[in-house]
Amino acid sequence: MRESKLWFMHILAGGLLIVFLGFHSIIMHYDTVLGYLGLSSGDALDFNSSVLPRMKSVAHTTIYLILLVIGLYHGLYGLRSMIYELAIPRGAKKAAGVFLLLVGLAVGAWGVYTILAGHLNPPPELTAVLGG
Amino acid sequence: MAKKNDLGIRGWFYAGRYGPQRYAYTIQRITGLSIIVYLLIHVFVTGSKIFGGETWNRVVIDGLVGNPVLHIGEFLLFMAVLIHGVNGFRLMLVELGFFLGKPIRNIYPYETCLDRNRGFLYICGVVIAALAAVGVGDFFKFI
Amino acid sequence: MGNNNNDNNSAVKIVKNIAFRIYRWDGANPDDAPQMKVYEVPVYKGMTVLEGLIYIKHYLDQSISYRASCRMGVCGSCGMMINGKPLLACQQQILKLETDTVELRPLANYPVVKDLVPDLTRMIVTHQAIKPFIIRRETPPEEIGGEFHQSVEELVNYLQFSYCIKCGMCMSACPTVGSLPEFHGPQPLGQALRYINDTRDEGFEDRLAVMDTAEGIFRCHFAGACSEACPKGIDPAFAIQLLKGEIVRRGIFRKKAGASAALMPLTQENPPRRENIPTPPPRTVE
Ligand code: SF4
Ligand code: FES
Repeated sequence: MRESKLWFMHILAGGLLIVFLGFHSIIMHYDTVLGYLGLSSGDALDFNSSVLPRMKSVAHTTIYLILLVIGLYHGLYGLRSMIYELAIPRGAKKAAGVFLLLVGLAVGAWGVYTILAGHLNPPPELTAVLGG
Repeated sequence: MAKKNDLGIRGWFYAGRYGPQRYAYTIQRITGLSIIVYLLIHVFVTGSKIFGGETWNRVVIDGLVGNPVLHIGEFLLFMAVLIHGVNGFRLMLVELGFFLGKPIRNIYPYETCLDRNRGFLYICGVVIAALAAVGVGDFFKFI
Repeated sequence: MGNNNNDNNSAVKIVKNIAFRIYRWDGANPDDAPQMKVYEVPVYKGMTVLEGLIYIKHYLDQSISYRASCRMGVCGSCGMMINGKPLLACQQQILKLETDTVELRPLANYPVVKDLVPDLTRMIVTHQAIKPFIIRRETPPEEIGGEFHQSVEELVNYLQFSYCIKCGMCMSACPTVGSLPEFHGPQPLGQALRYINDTRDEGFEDRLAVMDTAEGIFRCHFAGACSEACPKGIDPAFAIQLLKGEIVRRGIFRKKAGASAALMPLTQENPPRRENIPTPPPRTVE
């Protein structure tokens, strides 16, 4: 594909990431603030009260899928772009590009699997409280 | 016979006596690199949720949040995402040719698009600082 | 000037002595390591770095090499790294640097030939590759047989970019050129926009094919150092961002280019004219 198209998709993915990753970051990192607004479900990392409900929610599952795809594309294109900016042989750059594509597909596949498996077949609630 | 005199990758990280946009470029690069490395790990770490609450608690709560170094690292990553995102918003518009003004007659002292874009850059800085302040408060639990 | 700087009758008043630390390396002895040599230069008000170099060459060390010609910021020969930034030696006043030492190195991102003389071939070759001339699809320019008319706005759209003196300083400021020698760099890309924005030109597709590669224009990330370095206000960073927008509009969204300049044949008495174009001055050729 033409470089301009790949680059434009990178910019587009970046724009979408601002929206979706912004949302994701607010949920994960602004839970105290969300609490003041009466929107927080408590500790964002608590399995029973936060993680499990997010897994079951269709909205969150969709957001995670979108985030995964555009995040991987934007990030790996950025990495490829840096590799292309090195003074190394063209062949090495092409090989690195293919390698990054494979990494993206592999990580993406595992990510999609965990997101969908978690949504369709969520694990049971935690009974014994461990550690933490 | 001539001698090579290239900046090399040193130029990516060392912005020297250039202006704020040149520094923004360096910061965007460093934050971007750290975020993509994190993302690849993040997919596997959070993927542990499908193995149930015990695994989640062992990997995320004890392993990550419980480890002070990794926990601080996670906060730095939040900062990296914030900076990369807000500055990325500026770059997205700028690299498509917006917010740079129009071609002008170049009369000394010359004005460049960097001058016309500086306000935007500083606004981004203020937005980053404000959101970071909230993030810091939330992270260290003093708000 | 003269080397007897204590002479009270001297026309110029020496303000102070400044140390010039100068990069020395000779392509004739490539195995020698580059050295930084120090020269004391008596400096008067208004004295430029180039004048300092001329002083050194005349009175202190004839073996030093640098390039200069016009000594008035027009020819673009004397670009060099002055205290770490690419500047024209003939335009930079020494006292304005406000340092006690002036460090001079050859322009970064080019091979060094000798001392402060870089080899600018890299820039010239890519400059040629982007076709820095008006391209007409049907008729070659010499067979057009008329004059093109442009409005003032159409002129201003590319005028700023046409003042490039090919000094190459933007290239040595660019971090991408620094790590990727194949990258076109700010000077050629700026000139690509200069012709693409010209309503007489129809060569967008030709230049797009050259620029739109994995090592091409999209390896620019708006660090903006080129625009800071440019001594002529070309603003190459601006040109490149406009060019990216143009490529997205025309290359991806298939938007049509704006109207091309109206042609006024020389043979016609009252040629048809586009509305928004003011009357041209009287003809200068018969
Ligand atoms: S764009 Fe400016 S800095 Fe670059 S070669 Fe032309 S005049 Fe020199
Ligand atoms: S000597 Fe001509 S630009 Fe400096």
